[in-house]
Amino acid sequence: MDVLELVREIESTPDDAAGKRIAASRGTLVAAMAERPKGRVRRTWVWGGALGTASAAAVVTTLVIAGTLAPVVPESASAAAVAVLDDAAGKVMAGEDPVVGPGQYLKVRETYELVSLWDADADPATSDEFVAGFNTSTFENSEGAIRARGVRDLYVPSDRSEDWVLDDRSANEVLDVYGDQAALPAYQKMVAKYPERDADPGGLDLLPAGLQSWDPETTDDDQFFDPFREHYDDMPRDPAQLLAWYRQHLTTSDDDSYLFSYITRALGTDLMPVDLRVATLHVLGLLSGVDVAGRTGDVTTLELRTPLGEGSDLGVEYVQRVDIDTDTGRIVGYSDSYPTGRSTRALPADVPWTTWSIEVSVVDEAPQP
Amino acid sequence: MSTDSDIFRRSERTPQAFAEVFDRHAASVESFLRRRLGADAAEDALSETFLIAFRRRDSFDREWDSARPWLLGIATRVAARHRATEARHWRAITASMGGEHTTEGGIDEAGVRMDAAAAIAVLAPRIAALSTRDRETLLLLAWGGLSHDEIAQALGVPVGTVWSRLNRVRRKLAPPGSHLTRLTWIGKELEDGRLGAGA
Repeated sequence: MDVLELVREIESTPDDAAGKRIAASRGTLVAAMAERPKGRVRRTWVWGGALGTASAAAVVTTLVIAGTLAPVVPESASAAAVAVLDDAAGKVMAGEDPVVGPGQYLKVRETYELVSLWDADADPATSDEFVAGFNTSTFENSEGAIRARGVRDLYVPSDRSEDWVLDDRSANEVLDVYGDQAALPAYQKMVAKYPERDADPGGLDLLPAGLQSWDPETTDDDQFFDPFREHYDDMPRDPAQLLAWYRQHLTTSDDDSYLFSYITRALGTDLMPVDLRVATLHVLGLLSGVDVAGRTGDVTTLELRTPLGEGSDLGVEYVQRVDIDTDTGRIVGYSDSYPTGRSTRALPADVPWTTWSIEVSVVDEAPQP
Repeated sequence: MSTDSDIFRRSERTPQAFAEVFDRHAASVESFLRRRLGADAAEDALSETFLIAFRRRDSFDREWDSARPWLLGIATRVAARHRATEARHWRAITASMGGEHTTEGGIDEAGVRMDAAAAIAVLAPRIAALSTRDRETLLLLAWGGLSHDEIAQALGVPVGTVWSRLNRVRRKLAPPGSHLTRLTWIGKELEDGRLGAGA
């Protein structure tokens, strides 16, 4: 029996109670059709970060949906936040981008700190073969957690059609172990056991024209570092139209928290044309609930707080923050957290879920595999 | 017989017509959700899926005759909302198949040495350990019975992304050190898909 057949076999036995469930569900739907006017329903989508993995790449691809379908009343970004974003956009427009000469590279260094939860029950201490505790863990079932810091460098050539270089060779540094201290040896075992999936340190990879392809033969994969590169010329520069464009093209979700995550990361990587970056900064000002969280020197932090639905094991709200250097208008960091009401005691409340800091510079060479 | 698109058009003026869409597809959507989340969570997830579909029926692409891929795409997002439930369910599947088994030899080798239940016990934790995107792509293929084009429609991604995700799944389900060619199933599916697309 081959593997696909095995997958099809899983839970394939017909369930006699299915008819009853379908009938009950039909009743719910019919009642809703009779009562509710047709209209758009907003959902609360939450950027979840690194549930179950220490891989930086996985961080940007993992989504957790939380909350209920209760409609959320839209609010505007605060006037203070809009002022910060307008000012930042002005600085970007008036400033000068780093000049990347022929043969040089734009180096984007990401220093990130990630929390990985660990489910001890899924990781028998006697097992040396399979490490599941970091892959199936949730706030609800985790007994321990690891906070680790990593560094990843992206080298973008002056001619972006040439090979980009991703240097992920730096080993993650474990900063804290929370709860069950057995999480640490399990974490070390995981990164050693599965270098392909949870590489730490990772490798030094060439990305043809920035294409992050998982398999050499799958050149039609769309996982570019700057996924909308082909659309840059066509993307609207009017903020309202650009917001609509993002909502349409970010197919995972069109909700504000997801837009906030995507946009802050795209601006952090800093590869869009200047006028598009300016318009995108203004888009942040159009998102519901964006407000100023604080100021430290030249860095102003904006935040978006998204209420989670009642009963979410992630807690009461999801808080996303972005750090803007008000001197240059550039994004220099961002973070996600679930600060209150989480269904775990393994993790102190003040520990962010993920934090990233971004440094951009021009260098004469990049490491080569 | 009217197409799903026809029903969607009718439901613009007569919302109750949407019940026909439910009657056509509820069984397959319920089965998909039950297999992902377990029977206890299936009913609520099924209701949620069709309530979302009803409210968002104007976003259904009328170029598609069948709404099944679109509905399974919504069901996939609803299932993703219940991440903890799904994780528990995968552990239950593993346990029901005789507990977690491990092998260095590979899934196909395990299949030779063990019966199907034991092989599934090996496979289930590996599926659970896939990324959400990879797992949902795999399950739309295996449990949803969707073609690559339909999976692309369901998830709102290019079909090339579906191929690459399935390639990655193949690689991840293969144990470290194994030859990918020993796991030929998705390779064959991809081959068939490419041939079909070119025909």
